[in-house]
Amino acid sequence: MNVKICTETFESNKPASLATYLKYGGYEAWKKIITEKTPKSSIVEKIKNSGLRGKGGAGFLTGLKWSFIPLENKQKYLVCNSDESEPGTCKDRDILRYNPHSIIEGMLIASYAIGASVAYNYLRGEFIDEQKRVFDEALKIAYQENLVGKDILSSSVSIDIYSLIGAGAYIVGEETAMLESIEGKRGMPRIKPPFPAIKGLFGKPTIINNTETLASVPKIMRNEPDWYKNIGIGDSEGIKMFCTSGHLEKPGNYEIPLGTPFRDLLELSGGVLNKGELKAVIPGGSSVPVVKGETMLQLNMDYESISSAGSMLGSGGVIVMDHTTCMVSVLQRISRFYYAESCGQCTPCREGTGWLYKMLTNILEGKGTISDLDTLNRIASQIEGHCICALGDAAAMPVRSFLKNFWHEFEYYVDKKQSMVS
Amino acid sequence: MKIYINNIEYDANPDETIIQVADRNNIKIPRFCYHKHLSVVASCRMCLVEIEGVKFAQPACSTPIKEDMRISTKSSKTKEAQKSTMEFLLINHPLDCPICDQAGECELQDVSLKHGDDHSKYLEFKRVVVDKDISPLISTEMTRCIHCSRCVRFGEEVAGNKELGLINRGEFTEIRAFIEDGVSSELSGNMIDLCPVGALNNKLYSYKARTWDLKQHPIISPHDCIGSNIFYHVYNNEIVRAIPKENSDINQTWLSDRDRFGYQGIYSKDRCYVSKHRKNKTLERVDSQDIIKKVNNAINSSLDKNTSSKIGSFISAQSTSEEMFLFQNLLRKLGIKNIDHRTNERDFDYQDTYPLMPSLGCNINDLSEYDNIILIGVNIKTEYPILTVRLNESVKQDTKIYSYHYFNMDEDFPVEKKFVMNNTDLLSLFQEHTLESCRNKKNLLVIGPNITYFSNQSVFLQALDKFAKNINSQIGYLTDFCNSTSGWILGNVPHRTIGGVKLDNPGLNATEMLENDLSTLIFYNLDPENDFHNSSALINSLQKSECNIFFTSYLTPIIEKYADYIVPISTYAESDGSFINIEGRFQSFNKVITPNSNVIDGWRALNELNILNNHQAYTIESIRSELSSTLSKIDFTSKILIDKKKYELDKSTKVHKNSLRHIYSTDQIVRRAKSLNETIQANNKSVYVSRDIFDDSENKKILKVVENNRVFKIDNFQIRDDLPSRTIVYSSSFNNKFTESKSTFVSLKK
Ligand SMILES: Cc1cc2nc3c(=O)[nH]c(=O)nc-3n(C[C@H](O)[C@H](O)[C@H](O)COP(=O)(O)O)c2cc1C
Ligand code: SF4
Ligand code: SF4
Ligand code: FES
Repeated sequence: MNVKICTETFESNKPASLATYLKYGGYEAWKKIITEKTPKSSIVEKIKNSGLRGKGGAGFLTGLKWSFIPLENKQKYLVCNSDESEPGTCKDRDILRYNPHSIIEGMLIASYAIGASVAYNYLRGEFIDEQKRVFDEALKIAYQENLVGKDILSSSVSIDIYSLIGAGAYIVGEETAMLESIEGKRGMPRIKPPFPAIKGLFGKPTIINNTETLASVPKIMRNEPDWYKNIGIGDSEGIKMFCTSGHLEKPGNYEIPLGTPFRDLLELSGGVLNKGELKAVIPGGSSVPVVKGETMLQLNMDYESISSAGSMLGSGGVIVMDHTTCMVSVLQRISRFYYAESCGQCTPCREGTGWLYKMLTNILEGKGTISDLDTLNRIASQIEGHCICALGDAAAMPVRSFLKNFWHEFEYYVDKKQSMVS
Repeated sequence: MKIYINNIEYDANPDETIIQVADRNNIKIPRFCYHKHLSVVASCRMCLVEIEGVKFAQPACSTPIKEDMRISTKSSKTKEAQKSTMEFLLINHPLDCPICDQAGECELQDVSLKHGDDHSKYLEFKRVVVDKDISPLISTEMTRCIHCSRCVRFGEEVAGNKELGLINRGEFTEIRAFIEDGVSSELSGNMIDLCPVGALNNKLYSYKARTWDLKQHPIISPHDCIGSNIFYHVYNNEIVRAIPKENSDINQTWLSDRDRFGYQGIYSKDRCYVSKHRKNKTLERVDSQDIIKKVNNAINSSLDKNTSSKIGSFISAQSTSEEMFLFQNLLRKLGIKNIDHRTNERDFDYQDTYPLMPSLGCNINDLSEYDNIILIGVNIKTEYPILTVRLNESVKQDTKIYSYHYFNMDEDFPVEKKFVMNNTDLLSLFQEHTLESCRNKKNLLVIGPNITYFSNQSVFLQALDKFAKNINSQIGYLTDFCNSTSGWILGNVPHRTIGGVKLDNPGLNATEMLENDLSTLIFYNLDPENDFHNSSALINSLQKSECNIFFTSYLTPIIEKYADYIVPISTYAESDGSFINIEGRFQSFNKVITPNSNVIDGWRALNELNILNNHQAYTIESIRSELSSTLSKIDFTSKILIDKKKYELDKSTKVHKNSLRHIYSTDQIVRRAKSLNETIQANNKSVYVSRDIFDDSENKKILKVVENNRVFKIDNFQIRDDLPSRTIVYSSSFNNKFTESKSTFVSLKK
């Protein structure tokens, strides 16, 4: 239970410094790869076997994704997704400021493995002051040490890394919108296929991985083949950062093995605030369905267990709500987010997110009717599955799950024109 | 590969999407964002269809087909999905069809009729978008926009000039011009057609008629030699708008703004509606029944008094092939040989070696097959805007485009390299020049009409011939008028008769006619102020001649001052006619509107004269059949011998004065099209002077230009640093103030 990967350096004196990172075995894997000229395929194979899954939300097997890159010797790109905008998620921001070298090394290894000579780290706009500064400083030092750049440590391997900053749109976290944004265009998701691994940045094969995913790569490479795989509890492989927030005594980032019971995570976070009663949990960022508190206490923090309760592990943003929470207000607030963040290209998402938000606002203002609740469900189901990117689904899923799990509370609200909890 | 749509098997190509297969087989799938000439964005979600084994309905426009895929365009899942999209599209749409010009041909209306609900469940406030005045040609009602982004993609992908874009996010997404009144593309009107709703509208057509009351008539563009196919929409005998008539060989589904809005010139206040005859120095109205007789008497009495060599005749190459056929037919039968359509030209030494008729040298569809296209003295963006679409396509298929000009002008397609030099430097360059990238490649050199204005055109053409040989290139031409081809091949030149048959004793060319003190001058369909190379030479000969006969659709000050006979004739849209485009395509059209009863059909006026002289009478059909038999007998492939004449390079240090064809003043109709002349391009009318000329001049306010011993003063000029040395360029849209001649050598008085 004590293994740490991305958060390893967090408690050190100067967590972001190269010296600290080296102390934890930093860049060993990278140096080994370029001196031994490790075959690319064996790196991809090792990541595949480790069972590492993407930490950005979808949980896609990282090694498998890398293996989709065409083998021919053409320009390819790697993109690190540090846009972290999913409400409830705050892990990448800490890796960026407390362990930036792990991201750099992860980006180097990934670039090498897929044959990319250029990699971008795309940071969300709000990271401009601290995270970008820290990451850029680390990158500068890595360049000075010739760990990045041309002819790295005289190995004749050359990889350049650039960092860039977004302009405040949630949607550029979606991988293809991010590619558009890097190309200097309006951040709007592309249609798939073609997938980025075939036709990505500037039309070239591209791999996009989450910050945490890439930061996990160096340590996996440093260790024995099955090391990462064996960390998890039970059938779940590996480790993940969870960002707990809400009604908790000690909200924060906790890196724990997958499969850890939710009860343990709750305990790590100091338990429910003021010894309150656990009402509901959104286990993977605001885009995933809400789970009732009592159900959540039976679950483990892994992909299978959470999905058995009809939700998803998502980005690892665990939002905890106690008995004082009005579910109508929460849903209205979540809907406002998707209403504001829809990029506006798909009709259902552009028009539907606004409709959902406006109806929920009406309900909160005491102007709702019972038939509005059915309309909400209907609109959500009309958005779901009908859009270019998953934002549409992300707007729909909370509505459906809140109504399903807390119908009585919504019913009460439209009937009594006030919240059940206040 | 085979797929099943509604349980029926269809053949399909592996790289097709569902909508392509469906469209090919006439299976209806509703759509808004999809357009066959634009990239696929799959954002409107109107085309959702059920695919067997896939949980959610998928967009037909972007989903690639797979072997044995089973698609249903009628199942309840499909219907539900489409109805759902329609509901979303309508919640924020104003539904103001009763006051919308698009109503009746609105894709949203049509689709909602089939797939929408009859009442709205949306009870919130609707979105309202504040409009901007983006152009004199396009009016907007952006609250109606359904964000299909066709207009945006058109600018980016087809017109090569992205002026509209999306701003804001989500429900607040808006289509806006980047620069507030900044839609300036020469192809902007196409966005009106592309817009599926009434968001982008035809400003000229605003509230003029309801679409279901319009009559549609096909016609061919009279504004350039490409010959775009147009539909005019007529309400109460008035053309109220134009839309493209699809022709995959020529304009595809597009029209240039000039072709779309140019018809306004027909309704100019300059139109000539009465026949006139000068008696005792004043023009008097003549009954339209009598004018042809009077003109006939005038020509015959001139023939009696003088020899036929004292009669000169000019015809505009904007005239129809039927008119051109009859014009030379009449005159040659009367023994008159001085016939020319090349009124904008000065130097005709080249004429014996010129092809039977100018030609692009290939079909428009084949332009993309060339590795290199070399433009000489032509700006496609403003002179042949519809070709911008083609050249953009070509560049996407790896054609490289080079441009040689005396003026630095923008194009809306990528130009590999621009050479901007003054006339003399260009001429020297072509003697020796090679282009490395042309080696062992398929090359096309395209000569534009600005070259024909040069006072040393023949030397230029010879040098270009040499250049073309050096780089192993074909030669093609783009011409001044829509029907210059007919001007040549139908014998409206002094040295060749119909079919391009050489004459042993040629008549006088356009310049010679003005320099030889002729006694009778006949002008057909010409604007004396603008359509002659040298207007003062023209005025001079009008003054000296005893009888000036004008067949014209417009009255101009020169006509009113010098005409002895005025025959008001029809414009292209008021009569049956044909044009031969630059590919050699003969395209006919019928009369679209009936003009004022005093206006005489052009070809009928000429036919009447034939009858009065006991020559053969024609009908439109008999002219056309004679034309087609003439054209079919011509061997266009025969090579013309290149002239061996040795030309001297003019090495003088004089200044080059050039007239640049301005997009909205290339012909007498577009010159009078009101709205086009309110566009941003139309403002761009100035005299441009190179920096060295300005530096040399002592008077910085007024430049004194000496041409043919006469001094012209230029006061409102602009200095352009990108002009080559010793160059003055003025836009042809200028009224005659400076137009001593269109292109010549001048000197400057300090
Ligand atoms: C609306 C939307 C927002 C997203 N935002 C993020 C984000 O902020 N950070 C992130 O890593 N992935 C985000 N994703 C997921 C990415 O599209 C992508 O799946 C991920 O970066 C892949 O990395 P991984 O395989 O390492 O998880 C978002 C997806 C969607 C649909
Ligand atoms: S689902 Fe929403 S955010 Fe995603 S592409 Fe469509 S409109 Fe944009
Ligand atoms: S203005 Fe018209 S063409 Fe442009 S996005 Fe809106 S609806 Fe589509
Ligand atoms: S036509 Fe297919 S999504 Fe718009």
